[in-house]
Amino acid sequence: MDTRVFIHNFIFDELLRGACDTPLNDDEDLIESGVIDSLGIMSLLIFIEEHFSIKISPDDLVPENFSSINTITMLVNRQINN
Amino acid sequence: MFSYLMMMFHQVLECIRGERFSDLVRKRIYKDRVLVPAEMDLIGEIPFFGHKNQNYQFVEVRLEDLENKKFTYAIPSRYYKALRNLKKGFRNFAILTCGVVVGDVWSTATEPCGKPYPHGDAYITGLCCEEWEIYAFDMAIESSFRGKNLAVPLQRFLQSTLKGEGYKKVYGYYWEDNLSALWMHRLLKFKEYPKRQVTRVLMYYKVEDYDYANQPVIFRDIITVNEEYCWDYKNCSEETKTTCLAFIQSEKQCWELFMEDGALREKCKTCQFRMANMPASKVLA
Repeated sequence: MDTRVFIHNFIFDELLRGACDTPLNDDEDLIESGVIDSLGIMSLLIFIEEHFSIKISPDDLVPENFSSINTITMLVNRQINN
Repeated sequence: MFSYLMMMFHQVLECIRGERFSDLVRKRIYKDRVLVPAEMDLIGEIPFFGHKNQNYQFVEVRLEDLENKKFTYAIPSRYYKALRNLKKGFRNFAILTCGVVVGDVWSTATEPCGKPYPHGDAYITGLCCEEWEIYAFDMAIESSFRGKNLAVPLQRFLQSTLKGEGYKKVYGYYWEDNLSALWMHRLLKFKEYPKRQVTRVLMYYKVEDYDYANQPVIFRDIITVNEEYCWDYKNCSEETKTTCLAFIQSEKQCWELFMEDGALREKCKTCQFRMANMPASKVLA
């Protein structure tokens, strides 16, 4: 599975917990929809750091990097490549 | 004094009940904890602060509300804190559901002319309110209500109320290791000031500038927002962002070189870059 799929599955299974009947779009705004709130960001961060063995700096914790599955994937890939 | 002792007693009790024993020490003894002061301009439009769930109300709690037992607090220590702080003249903005305060945040008070009263946190934050500026602090949401998107609407309620009264700016801060607070401030688009490192042993505090020189260089460290030296990254054009980012993240990661490059500097003026007096050592890799 690629990065995007792991992130998608985590958000769908752990943050949405099946509350969403429709498929989760990779461009969907996760902040506007309230999926990534202050608790959601912590769960997501723990998952990303443990699963991909990377460290996300507090300076990268900006809404622009976590607004959708696509932007999260880009951030993770950037950190992996670094 | 009574409300202070009761507040302390309940704080200890809450830590024990919540099995957060370490909090009792961790909040009073720490070393080099990173604090980020921040400000929010109230001149612009404040987005809607309501909540999808109509059961939540946003209110400003007054001393007479507590005396008349109009509200109760889901966190007992917050009730005693409210009794104490309201008597001091601080203001309490709260989220209410079924007559119970499930989350609240404080702000300092000002004189009717807008002249601010100082707050003890000014020592560690370095923040100083001018007329019609106010300091907001100490937000808490009851644990079973966290994760319900209440923090941002509560802050917006506070901002909207204060803006309506003529305030121009709200100051606050967060600890960098408090990810929830960090995220909330970023969502609300607070402008962040240079970080500070705070060491505390009970009543003793030591505050230092954040040691940028020993941190990995990243772009946002350089563009830390401040009235004196500021690169408002979000307002940059994409082209300028790319050019400047590439330059600063190249091998010559040096503020001095950047300052020497007149062409780049001119270009960056278009994205509200202001001349800085930040020493090069602060941004050297």
